[in-house]
Amino acid sequence: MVTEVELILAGAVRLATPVALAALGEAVVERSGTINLGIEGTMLAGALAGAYGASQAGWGAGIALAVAVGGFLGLVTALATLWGRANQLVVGLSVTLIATGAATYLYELWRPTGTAAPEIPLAPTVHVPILREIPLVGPALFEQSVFSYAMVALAVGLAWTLRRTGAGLALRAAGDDPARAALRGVRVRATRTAALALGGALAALGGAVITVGYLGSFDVNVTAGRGYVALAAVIIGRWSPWGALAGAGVFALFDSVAIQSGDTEIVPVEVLTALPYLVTLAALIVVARGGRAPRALGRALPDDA
Amino acid sequence: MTAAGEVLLAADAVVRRYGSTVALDGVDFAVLASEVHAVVGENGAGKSTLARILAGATAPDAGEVRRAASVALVPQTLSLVGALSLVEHVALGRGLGRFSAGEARARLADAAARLGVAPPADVPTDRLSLPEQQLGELGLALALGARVLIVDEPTSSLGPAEVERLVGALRGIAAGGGAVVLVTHRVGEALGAADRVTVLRGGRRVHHGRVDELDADTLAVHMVGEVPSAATVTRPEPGRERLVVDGVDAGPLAGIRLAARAGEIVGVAGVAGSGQHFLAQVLAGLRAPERGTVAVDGVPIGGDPWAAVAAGVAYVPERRADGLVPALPGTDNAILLATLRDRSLRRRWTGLRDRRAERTRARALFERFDVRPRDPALPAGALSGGNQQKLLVGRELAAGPSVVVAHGPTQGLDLRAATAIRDDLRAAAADGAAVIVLSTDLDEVLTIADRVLVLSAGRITDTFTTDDRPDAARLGRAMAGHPLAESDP
Repeated sequence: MVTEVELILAGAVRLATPVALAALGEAVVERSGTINLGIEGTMLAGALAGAYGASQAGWGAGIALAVAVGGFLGLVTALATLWGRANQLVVGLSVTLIATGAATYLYELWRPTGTAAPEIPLAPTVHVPILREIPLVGPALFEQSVFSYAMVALAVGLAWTLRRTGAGLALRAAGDDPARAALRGVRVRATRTAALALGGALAALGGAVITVGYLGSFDVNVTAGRGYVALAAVIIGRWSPWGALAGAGVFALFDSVAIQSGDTEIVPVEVLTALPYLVTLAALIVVARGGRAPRALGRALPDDA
Repeated sequence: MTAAGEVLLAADAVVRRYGSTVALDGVDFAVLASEVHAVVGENGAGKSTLARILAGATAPDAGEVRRAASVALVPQTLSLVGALSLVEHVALGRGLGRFSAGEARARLADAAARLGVAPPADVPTDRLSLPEQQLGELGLALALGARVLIVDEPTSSLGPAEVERLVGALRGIAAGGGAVVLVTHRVGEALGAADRVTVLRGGRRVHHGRVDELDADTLAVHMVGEVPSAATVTRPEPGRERLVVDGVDAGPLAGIRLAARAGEIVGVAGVAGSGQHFLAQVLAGLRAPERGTVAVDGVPIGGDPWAAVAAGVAYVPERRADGLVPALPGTDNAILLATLRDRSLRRRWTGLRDRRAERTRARALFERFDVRPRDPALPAGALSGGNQQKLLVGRELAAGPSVVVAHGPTQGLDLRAATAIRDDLRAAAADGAAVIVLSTDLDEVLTIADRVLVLSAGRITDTFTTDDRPDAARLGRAMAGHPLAESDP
């Protein structure tokens, strides 16, 4: 019994990491006033770029390539919505559609159907001696991929930046009231552009964590809607970095439960697979009523900002 | 600290054109250290353009601006970001790196000492009341190092006690060696707060000099050119009770009881947050009272806007955007509700809209209420503020209402437009309507009402007739019967 719970918890942390990374990025993007529906496609692009880079030059190269691709997609989104004044939702969905199509095509070029799957070196796992022997939470907390610890460090850093630096204030001001923020000297477009680049990079990193961090393989369904789950996690977490982690955790916990109980025959496997998504949806419905979204979220940039 | 009398900010013969209109036509201006300098004029006189040019937000087409100290503009709509506290605003003005909340707080405290009032520095500014935001904005400008503050129409929504506090703060800035440029269209405010005054009319400086050499009438003549004569309307003695409000509780309102007779204009004065907004909505049938009744000519209208419309209630909301659709042409705005009630605006057999009848109706309304330009095809949003208000008031009064609920009907209008609106409301009363005018501006209420009720924290705290006006101290007590911290819903 103890080992099963340990397995579920450790699995939850592992499954939460990609979603949480993407959600941290999206939280920053939404705090700056933009909704990026492109993160699903960006995650997939990151997953492929990471796999390709890792297979060529090791896992570090894969991560670097993924981050570069994600940052680039974020910049493309910024260019279209902020400088070209296109609709955020349309651009985001377009990025997802294009990235999905491109990933499928490029993977086919790289490994045509029928050839052997690529060899993808995995990023190392951290083993903290002694502490990982702690019952229940030991493996979940002290025997995880480097990315899980990076995720926590990132959340700490982002929460601090948002509260304690001028850059964080500028970001919040741009998302709350861009016109007045501009009056106060905030460069709203530049701020939002930087946020989108960071958000894209983190979404792609999340995607790469799936392939390079845990799976060691790639297929075109590898993200399975986790980008959209990250969007939900941001709302569940009320636009705070720690909240984004919690939102991702809710999804991951039930994902882990579903995977660990995959071989029971009490509940059909389809229901189990759907479970984490259903729970996320339920959490969204409950939480979305309260909480305060950035006031200018999703609105077009005003002319004077 | 520099000597008083030093020029901190000056403009020499500045010109600014917008398309074919000349907003400023060779205006000279100078503000000295340790003074409050009022820039007065009617709407469209060029005040805000001058303010923006002085602040450097707009470049002049000709002429020169000289700044000997750092200048900050406090715009009429304010520029605080609601999610951030005042401390965070200070930090926002000081770069992208890590900030010290302690240092920002100390700067604000220093500024507050000069203003003589300290708005809460650590709560998000959208939780502050409007007067607190206004004072916060002043403190922020000082904390960020400004020595000259240009303040554009700061008192447009403040009650008398808050205006006094604000004027005190402006005087405090001047006393500390800074300078204030107070942009306003209110004669009394300029005379009460400023050392010197510059009067703009039609983009030109028509007068400048010390305030103590001026009186209110002279200043008004400078502003307007000639004083528009108020149309004299002979009004019958108040008749039967048309509007009866009995024991109404709604939101902050508690036990409101009032009656208005045919031919009578009743003013309701109160500071922001006193519950005026709720009262106006209850009277217009837009909000159901939690207790008590509202009746027009004996017909109850509690919380049913259609019943209110059917009973002949005309409603001029506080925000023009709640009464007009800016994107629709004047024609549609002129007939908005009438088209549902008035069969003569529809085709006989099909019941569809009769555009020609609508246009005729709209043109007549533009004529009668002097809406300019006389082009009902223009979107309402393209009209000037004063003309939008004339259109809105005209539409509401056109059908001969039984009760008129007008919330701040002359707010922000120049003297001419305000006079026209007042005449329209008086004419409606003369035709037998009971008129209620609600406003945060005591002057607005006093110039039009026969009888005034003072609303404070949801209760009617005083009542008097305009002929028998109480002294300022009693009014102040009645109106400001609640602390600064409360804010409007």
